Amino acid sequence: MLPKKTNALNLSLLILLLTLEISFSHSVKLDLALIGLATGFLLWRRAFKSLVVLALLPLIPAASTYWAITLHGTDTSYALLLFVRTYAFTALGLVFLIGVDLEALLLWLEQHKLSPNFVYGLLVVIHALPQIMHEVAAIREASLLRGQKLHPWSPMIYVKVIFVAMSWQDQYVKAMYAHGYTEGAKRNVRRAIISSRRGLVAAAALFLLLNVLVR
Amino acid sequence: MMGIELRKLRFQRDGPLFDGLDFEFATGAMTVLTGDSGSGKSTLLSLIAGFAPLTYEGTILVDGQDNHNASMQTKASRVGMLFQNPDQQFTMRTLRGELNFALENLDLPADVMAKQIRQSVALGENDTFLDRDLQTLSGGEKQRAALTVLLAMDAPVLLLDEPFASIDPASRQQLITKLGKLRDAGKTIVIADHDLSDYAGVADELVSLEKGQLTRLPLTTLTTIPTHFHLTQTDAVTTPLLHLDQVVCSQNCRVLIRAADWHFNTGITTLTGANGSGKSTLLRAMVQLHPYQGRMFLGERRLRHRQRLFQTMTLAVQDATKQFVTLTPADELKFGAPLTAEVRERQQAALDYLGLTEKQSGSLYHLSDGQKKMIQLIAMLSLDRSFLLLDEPFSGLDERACAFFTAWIKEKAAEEAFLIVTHRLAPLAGVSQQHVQLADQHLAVLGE
Repeated sequence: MLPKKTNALNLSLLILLLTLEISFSHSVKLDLALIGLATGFLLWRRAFKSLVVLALLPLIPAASTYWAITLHGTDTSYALLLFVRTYAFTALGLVFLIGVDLEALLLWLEQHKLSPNFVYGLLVVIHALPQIMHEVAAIREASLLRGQKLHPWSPMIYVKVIFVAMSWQDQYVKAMYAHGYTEGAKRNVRRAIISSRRGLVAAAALFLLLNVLVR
Repeated sequence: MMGIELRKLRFQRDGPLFDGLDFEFATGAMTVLTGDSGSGKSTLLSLIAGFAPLTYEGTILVDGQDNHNASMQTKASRVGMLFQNPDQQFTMRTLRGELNFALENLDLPADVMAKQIRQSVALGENDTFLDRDLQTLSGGEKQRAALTVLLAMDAPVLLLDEPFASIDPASRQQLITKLGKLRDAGKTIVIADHDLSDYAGVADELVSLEKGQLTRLPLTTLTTIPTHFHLTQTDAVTTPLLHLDQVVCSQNCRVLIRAADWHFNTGITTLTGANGSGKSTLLRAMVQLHPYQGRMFLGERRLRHRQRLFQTMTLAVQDATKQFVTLTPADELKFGAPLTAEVRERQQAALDYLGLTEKQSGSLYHLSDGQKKMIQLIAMLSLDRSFLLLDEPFSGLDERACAFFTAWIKEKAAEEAFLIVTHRLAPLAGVSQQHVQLADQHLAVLGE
């Protein structure tokens, strides 16, 4: 069977590198370019909810840093920089969330000697996340059906969710065993996953281009 | 070739559950394992499969071999286990991924893997959702997907623990027929199930688990199960209660229900329909937890999503764990507005009758699924509401518990209206006053 090509690793590396760069760089233009690119990417992937998150989530921290520096800082040029930097971090985070196929990334890491216990344990958790979100909604609904309203800040919800998730743990372990998983046993790989070379070149080119054109 | 043999099996769970149990399950046969809720059917299957860390004395031979100290890999290649809860049994995102994962675990050569995956997918007839996100599948589809994984792993013994708890009658029959074919192909199959319908002509043995002992029952027990139930009482005095006016209810852009002008009546109404036809969605829409177009009226009052609504009507949801707000049965029964002494007594009597008194202060999550359902029903039936909707109240309950709750419902029906969605009709025979069916998006009253 042909190996499966993935860009998950290339994209993760690019995002990591850009995150490091904007942590140290003082270029407002670079941050703006990244926000623009990320918006384009999210539009292309039709992740409209993420666009709303991108617009609103960093608003309060970004704005408060901006005001704090304008009011008390010595160098006000930092205010704008930190404002756009907060947005750029969020944008890169969302691109990672939407763009990186975590299953492919983790399987690639497994084939490059990362412990299968870690890889499959993490995969179970990642795939259970929607169920956990669902559980939070279910608890609030359950309470409502009994005529009581639980508010989002009620600790009861979260205590309960932790217990629910813990009760799932046993079931997941049993289910993994039932599907033959054994800690430390030799596993065969049905389909090799390789990181796309072309993707790596494209990521490197994009990185260089950004640095040459924007800085 | 050997099937499953138990020799002097001893196991403790709040006191001895099995005390020197000797039994041999027929090889290459389909055995239906029945027994009351909490009798230990799930535990017995878990012991045989060996995937849970349970300590026991005695010997369990599967296919002639003692699995006790075998690696999980070896166990999984000998025994395939299908769990009761369809949600927590996959590691990967898609069925294709899960098939790869399972066969990689068995360390098979790539060409054998490819062949076994092809065969199992063809046998399971689920190439349509091979690449769909497993989260988006219905309960029945998830169970079919899990069965496909077991087929690919090709274990000679299949254990199924209440696999049909959330599956409609048609898929249930389909799956039982499919399991029959697997038996014909030489598999040894043990299914734990409360509901004995549909097994006639397919099952080879019927075994009951009671007080830690396994007893063979005559197969004629399966053929004498009635299949027709009286769900309509023509002389019942019922009046219109809830009015659906131009209601259109959809999920994922698919219209499930169109009700231009429909009345649900007082009394006890049974609502049936195929899986995925929208029964649960309709109940959720009626308690205003699912969006819909149109208007609903309870008596003269228009229904809206308000906390106050739940003082008048409420819903017991399909999955009992989704009804629980707290962590222990005792807290769960107390939750909400203070209960009268009379209701508290009633709850206590129910707990005593169903053998749950000792479990009150333990965790809800240590109960068997049948016991969870019991706690849920006690909690919901203790509420004082004028309209109570029940979604699959009998799933996972044995006949004794079913009879108990039916009697309670019947008693309350003098003052309260009930709308009951269920795949199990037997408990409602002679109690239900109207039978409504949801098919092809429309509601219709069924006669006798």
